[in-house]
Amino acid sequence: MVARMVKWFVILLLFIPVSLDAQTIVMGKVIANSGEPVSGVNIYCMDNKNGTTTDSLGYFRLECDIPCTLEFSHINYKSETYKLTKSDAPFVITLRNKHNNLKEVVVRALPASGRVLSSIKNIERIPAILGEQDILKYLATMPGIVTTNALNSGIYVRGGNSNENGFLINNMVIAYPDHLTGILSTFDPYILGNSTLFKSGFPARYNSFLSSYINMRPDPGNKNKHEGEVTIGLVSSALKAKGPLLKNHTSFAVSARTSYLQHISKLYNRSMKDNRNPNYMPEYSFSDITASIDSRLSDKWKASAFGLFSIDHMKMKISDHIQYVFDWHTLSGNINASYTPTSWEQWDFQFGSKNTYSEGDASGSIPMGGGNRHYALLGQVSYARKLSDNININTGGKFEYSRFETANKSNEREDLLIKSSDKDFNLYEIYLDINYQLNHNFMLNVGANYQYYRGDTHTHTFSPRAKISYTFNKLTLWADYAKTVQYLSLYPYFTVKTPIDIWYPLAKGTKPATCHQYSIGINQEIGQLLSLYAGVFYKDMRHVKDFASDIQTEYSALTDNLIQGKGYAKGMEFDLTLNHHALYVRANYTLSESKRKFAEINNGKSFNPPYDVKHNVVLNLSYEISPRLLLNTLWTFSSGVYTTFPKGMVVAQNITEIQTGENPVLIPVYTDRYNYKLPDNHRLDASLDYKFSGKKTFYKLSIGAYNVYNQSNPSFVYFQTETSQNLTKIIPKSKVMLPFIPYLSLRINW
Amino acid sequence: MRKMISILILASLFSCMPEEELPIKNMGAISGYFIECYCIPDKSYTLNAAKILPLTETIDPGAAVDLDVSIKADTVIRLEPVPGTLSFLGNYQHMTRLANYGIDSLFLSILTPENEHITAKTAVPDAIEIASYSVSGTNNSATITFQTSRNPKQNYYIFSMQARKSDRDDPVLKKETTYLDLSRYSPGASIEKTIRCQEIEEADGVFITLMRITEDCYNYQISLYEANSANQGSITTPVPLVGNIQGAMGIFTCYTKCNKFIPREKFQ
Repeated sequence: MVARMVKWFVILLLFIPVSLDAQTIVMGKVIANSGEPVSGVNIYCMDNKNGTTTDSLGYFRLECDIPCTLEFSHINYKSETYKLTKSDAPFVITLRNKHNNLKEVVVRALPASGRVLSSIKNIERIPAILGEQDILKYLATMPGIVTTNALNSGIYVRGGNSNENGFLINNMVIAYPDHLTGILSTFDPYILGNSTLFKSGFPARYNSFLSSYINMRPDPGNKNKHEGEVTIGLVSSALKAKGPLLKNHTSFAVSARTSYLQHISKLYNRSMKDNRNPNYMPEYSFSDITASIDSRLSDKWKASAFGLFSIDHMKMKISDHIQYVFDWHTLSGNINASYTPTSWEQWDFQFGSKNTYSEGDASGSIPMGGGNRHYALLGQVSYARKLSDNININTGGKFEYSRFETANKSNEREDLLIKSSDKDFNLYEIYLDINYQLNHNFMLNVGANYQYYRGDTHTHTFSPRAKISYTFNKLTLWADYAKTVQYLSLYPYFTVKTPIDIWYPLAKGTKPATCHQYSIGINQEIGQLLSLYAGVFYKDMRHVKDFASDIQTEYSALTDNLIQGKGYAKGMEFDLTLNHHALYVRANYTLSESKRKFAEINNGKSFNPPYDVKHNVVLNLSYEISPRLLLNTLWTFSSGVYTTFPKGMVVAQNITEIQTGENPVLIPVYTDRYNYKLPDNHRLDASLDYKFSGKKTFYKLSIGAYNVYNQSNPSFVYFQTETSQNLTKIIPKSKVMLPFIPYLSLRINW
Repeated sequence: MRKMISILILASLFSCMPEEELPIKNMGAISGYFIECYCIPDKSYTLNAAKILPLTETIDPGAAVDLDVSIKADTVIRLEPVPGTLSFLGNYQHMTRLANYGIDSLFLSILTPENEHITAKTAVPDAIEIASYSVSGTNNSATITFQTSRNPKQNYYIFSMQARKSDRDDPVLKKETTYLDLSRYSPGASIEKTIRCQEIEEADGVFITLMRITEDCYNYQISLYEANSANQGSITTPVPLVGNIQGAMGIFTCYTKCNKFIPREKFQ
């Protein structure tokens, strides 16, 4: 079988056409020297006479032959031309104000100032995990951002918890990133490839999450011609398309992905039927559909819409007696209308909704079952205006209505869910950002966000923001402060984050969690080749929430266990990016410490939460061996995280046995939380992409491996007993969920 | 063939999940006693007692503990250590049987060699009766009906069933247990409960047990289950054991029990 595959592969390499179409989609963003996006910039490709304009967030997308010369023009800025020799998009163009004497257009691969830009081009420079390209996996390779576990679907930003990140689509918090497992997120890079992650210095429009904001901009599609894509991977396959609905007027982009591992798992599990000690595979399936529509209604009006639907199902048979079944559905979307009456002002009107539903069913000794539903309606209006050559403002207002319902399985009818908790809140918000160019070098941003929360408790919050940056040639220095608040806490089903965890709004008598973040940074660019970044941060967190350890039964009220505490996180980050012809190298290191303290946990002593990663190193090397061959490698190292170990063991009687006294059970005695540091993690991923084309089709064949040197990185801990001569010894062990895994995937574009 | 390929792929991907032994570090001191005493009407008094051992130590079930144990029912009964026992389970006993009527509370008193006093109190639940029961061979389910207690503090139950096949080395085909909190039901309400179990179709008999337990016992059993789940993998959130003993870890409780065996010929 393997020999036949190798033969097929060699034949494929020998006979594929060698011609490559050099026409490339160039993506980028245009910003003013203040760092604010500039909308309505005309971009013209002087070689093939093709053009486009930037949208309300300053982004553009243009098809042209590389190398090419692009011209950027705007009524308030000096026109600039830029010769593009390679397509390492998205690049950022900084336009000079007409009254400003900056010497040249600054082009850089990554923006500074606590923001991380990602695009499909960036994502393609790291090996795809199991053949699946993913935005969150890419973001986790950035300084200050970590993931902790192969099973974990969350990212942790600057010592914050994974439930403290806000995921936005077109600046609106409607997105749910998580599929049921951590294999990949719901964000398909085909449509949501362009994102900006804010780690600090948040714009005033962002609030309600403590740690970070990830704003994604859906691909508007192609207004001129239809294009399609099919991907066939190890975990899932997808069908994707873009094209005009009305030529040069309205376009769409749509992607549908589905997995097929569950079919293989089912076959495997059936073969286990007579095994007395079975090792069942989880039967996991997911599907998602993402779609966007973009329309230029007139010169002044633009409209767009976005929708994301995902559905997950997992059946985990732990033993012959115990089985868990989980379902997870999400449906979210928003519509946006932009009105640009003049080139110096813009209105945006948005309406969105999100809806999630999860249901868990545990059969076995404790037939716990229940469901959670969260739905929200959101509306927002924003207004951006250039007041003078030096000052521009962004302001707006938002409204959110959120409802959280939890239900337990009925005692009478096991398929009936009875609502056990019903919480809702209204959130009203206004904000203002002022960007003031003090002189040629200094830029000041000040802003404020005011929120009124009305739920089980009423509260007003005021969150000031400030940032000052200094730019000299290609050196940028900045310092910023931001206060953020969060009203939601997450009750975890497991020790790792999963989407079926229960979001819980502020309980009566509790205060919103707050975080004061202070950050400084420096960015130095050397030509277009090298970029160096260093940053230091400190976060002071108050009224952060957790849940005290207690048994959970069908009548347990989460409020009984909700506790408030405090914490801090501090650290420093370094990043070096080299982008020289075919070679792309990125290396970064993060040193951080995160602590939390609750009177009800560990007798009030502060502890390292399970997402505290002290050292994190990422080395990404990507080399274009030829126009057809791209080698990507990624080596990561992270310090071990803390987990909870029992302090002792006792032997208990199992009274549920028919004959009392049968089968004594060994029970761990847990006292403190997060008292055991797991071994460090490291691994190497590598992939080789081979591109070739037919008459009208383009192919990308990726062959790669996850965890190339098969490092045993612990995914979870369990305890095994060894009995000899009536003496029992406890052996703690770790299981490695993702050892060396080779993969092959094929992408076909037309 | 396709099935074989699928199995091979998966076997190479997942089932070979390697495991590593982790070093046992000093997790800090832990001391005290673990006591379990389940009193059952018309059965002799039995108590399990052991020292809580640190994770680093080897567990010797035969290790003796020197405790002064007594239970006060209508009289004070002094439980004696059982010599030569190879297990913690039942290492203190007294042949007196708990009277099955007239006592509504029991008190436990233990004096340790360290002169610490361990105490606990439990209610004695009403006798439990399964009013009706049936096993369906077509639905593969076992159904019982019973009445809730007049005392709302006694409306906690454990309903278990075993599908058995006697010609096997291990006659238990499958065991299912349900912990029931019926404290919100009105006194004397008629309750019907069903456990579905696929293995009933191959069973030659089904054993059904219904236990009426105390609220403390219910919470303890749930905590045992959840702590044991955490033992299987750190993905489950660990919980402390929720007992009712002052000065020690564990449970002192009482339950009543009703068993039924339904042979295959009586399946519906």
